[in-house]
Amino acid sequence: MNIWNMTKKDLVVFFRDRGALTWLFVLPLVFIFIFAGLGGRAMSGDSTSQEEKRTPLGVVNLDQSGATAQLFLKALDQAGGYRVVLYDQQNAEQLMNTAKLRRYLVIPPNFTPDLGQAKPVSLELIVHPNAGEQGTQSILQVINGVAHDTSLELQLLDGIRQMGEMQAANPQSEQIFQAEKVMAQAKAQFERSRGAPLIQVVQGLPQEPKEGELEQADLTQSMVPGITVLFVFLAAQTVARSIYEEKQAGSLRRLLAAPVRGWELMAGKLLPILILTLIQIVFIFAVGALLLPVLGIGRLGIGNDPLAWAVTSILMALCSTSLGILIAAIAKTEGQISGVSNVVLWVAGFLGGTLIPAFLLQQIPVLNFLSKLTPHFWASSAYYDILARGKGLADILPNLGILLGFAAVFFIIGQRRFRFE
Amino acid sequence: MTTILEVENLVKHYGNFQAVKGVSFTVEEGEVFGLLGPNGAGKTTVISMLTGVIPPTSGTARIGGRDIVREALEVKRMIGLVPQDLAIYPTLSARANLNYFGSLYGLKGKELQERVDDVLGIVALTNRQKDAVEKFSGGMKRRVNIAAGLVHQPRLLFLDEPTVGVDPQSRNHIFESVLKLNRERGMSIIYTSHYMEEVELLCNRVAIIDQGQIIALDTIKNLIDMLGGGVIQIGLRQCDEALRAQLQALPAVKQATLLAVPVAVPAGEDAQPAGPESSLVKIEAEKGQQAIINVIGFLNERDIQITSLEILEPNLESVFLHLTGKKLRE
Repeated sequence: MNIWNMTKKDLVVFFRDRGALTWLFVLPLVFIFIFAGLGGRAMSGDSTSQEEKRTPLGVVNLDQSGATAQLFLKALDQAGGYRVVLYDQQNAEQLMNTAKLRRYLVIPPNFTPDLGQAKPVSLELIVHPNAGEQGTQSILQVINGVAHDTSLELQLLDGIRQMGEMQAANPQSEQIFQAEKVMAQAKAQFERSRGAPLIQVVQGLPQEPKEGELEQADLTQSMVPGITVLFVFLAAQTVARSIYEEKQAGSLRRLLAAPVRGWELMAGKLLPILILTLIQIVFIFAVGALLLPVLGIGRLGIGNDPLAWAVTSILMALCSTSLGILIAAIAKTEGQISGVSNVVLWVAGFLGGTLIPAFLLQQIPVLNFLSKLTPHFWASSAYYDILARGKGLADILPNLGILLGFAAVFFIIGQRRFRFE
Repeated sequence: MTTILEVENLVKHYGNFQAVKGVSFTVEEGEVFGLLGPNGAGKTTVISMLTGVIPPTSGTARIGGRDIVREALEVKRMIGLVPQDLAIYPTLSARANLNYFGSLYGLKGKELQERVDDVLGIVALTNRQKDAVEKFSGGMKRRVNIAAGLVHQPRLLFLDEPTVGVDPQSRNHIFESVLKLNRERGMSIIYTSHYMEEVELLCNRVAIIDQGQIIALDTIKNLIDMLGGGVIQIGLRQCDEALRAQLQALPAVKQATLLAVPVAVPAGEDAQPAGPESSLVKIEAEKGQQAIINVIGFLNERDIQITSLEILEPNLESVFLHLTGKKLRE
């Protein structure tokens, strides 16, 4: 009850402070527009235009002169949902290495001749390790569908061709075109197409980047989750300052003399900032979802699992505000609060992959190790999985557990170490 | 009379610094008890330990028979604290502040509103209850600060320098409120101040505290009686041990003490500087008037120049000077 009383009071005090309201709403807006504007299609990576709303699908066609390859590409382009964009192999590999292309399909050079001889061929979908699993499955489904249709068509045509050859080999036979035989042949070809399709799709990994070729981050894809985490961890400083201001004003002395337990007092200082941080997150995503598309900048989605997004946001805010309790216990002056907060915000934020994508840092063993010691890493990778890779709650449970652990450790140590003197 | 507070050898260290060096006293139910001492004497540290704001380094205290450390929550329900700082929220109204602090003691609904109405009446702010505290004068803010410590009707109220920076009118309001709470409601009060006039006006008994120790504890009358025939403070151009002994031997003089030479006195203070080359001698008299005549006559006979002369009234200020050799507000 005391926690809620303290929370209500802090929220009322906060909402009467116009400067604080600016912090709550204007700063996130600036943040959204700067970073959304930077990326263009930053927010969800699925920027849309009036002319073309389909998602581009990269294709490397090594059978450029083959008629069947052309037919396949036309069918793929018309299948709906995806727009075929052709690349040459070198260009596609380069884009994949710099994470600017997440997936591309390779049509082998022998595609048309092999299919012409009813020989099975394999298409390879090259997928970047950081590409969203859901998006990959969706593309595979479309390619498989087109491949299946093409296989069936080719195998039926092949069956009819075989019957024509049989007719030619036995001109005196009149029974060969009986309807039952044609149907049986068509059915056999259909079954064969299902059981052993001529065109198969396999998933492949990109080639290792050549030595000296630095992998670059796709900033538009990785920036928003990282910056959102960085922004949420600003709340730690707000909690620490809130406690410090209460101490400076003398009201903390009165609270300590009231029948309020130590953990209740700290929770009462944590909860209002937690609520405000969540309001901020919702505000950021609401503006990203509703306003940015209107402005033609892009769209900030919450991934495919709203529950995963919500739980991650709550635990991230809890971790950040608990960190604020720890900072308040360690830092004795306003200057120390700023100093410690800046270290936490920028150093841990950097190591945690909020400014530079974690997969880049992971290439350096020391940084890879250090990054995992920061809550920012687990928060940003959870957000990244949800927002960019389309993963769900079950996929990010380890991250959530670690964030909860960080929050508990920060809160318990902070509460026990806190001294009024 | 029941004892509401028992303090035994309470100590507080900050590293090597001893802020409170073993304080012991008791306060009876219904008493207004004063803690008088200069700034930095340790009054607020003692209050902070007794109210559970900081833990004592050693020693014990019981409020209403309960240990302040082991039974902290139960103790805190019995006490109210009015800190020296304005521990209220300026953007909230007086009523909202009181509602909030009352809610921390488990008050709610009609009971809370009745208590808030009551304390607003005590501090005479009923007609300004809906205004934000930031619009109040300094004195009115002080009154809200006091009301916030009263809303849950504590048995023992700690008032820590409640009149700092307050205009005379508000100060009178505060005095009236304190007396009313004590006389009409039987509330026990511990009142800390470095203003001896306040303590003399409000308190039954006083503990004089200096450098973390209680140096005297008694009723005001008994403390003043310690001075006997009064205290005279004389500035002399020169004074040595021999002269001090001669002064002490004069009739009607109880004791003469050679004090340190005062180096400077801030502007506005009522003390007179004795001059850079002067010595200050404190004369405790058995008979005030006779002692003055004897001392001045003795000094004139020997042509010793008097640079200042102060006859101290028999009050707590004089008692403090008598006990410590320095003034309360130094």
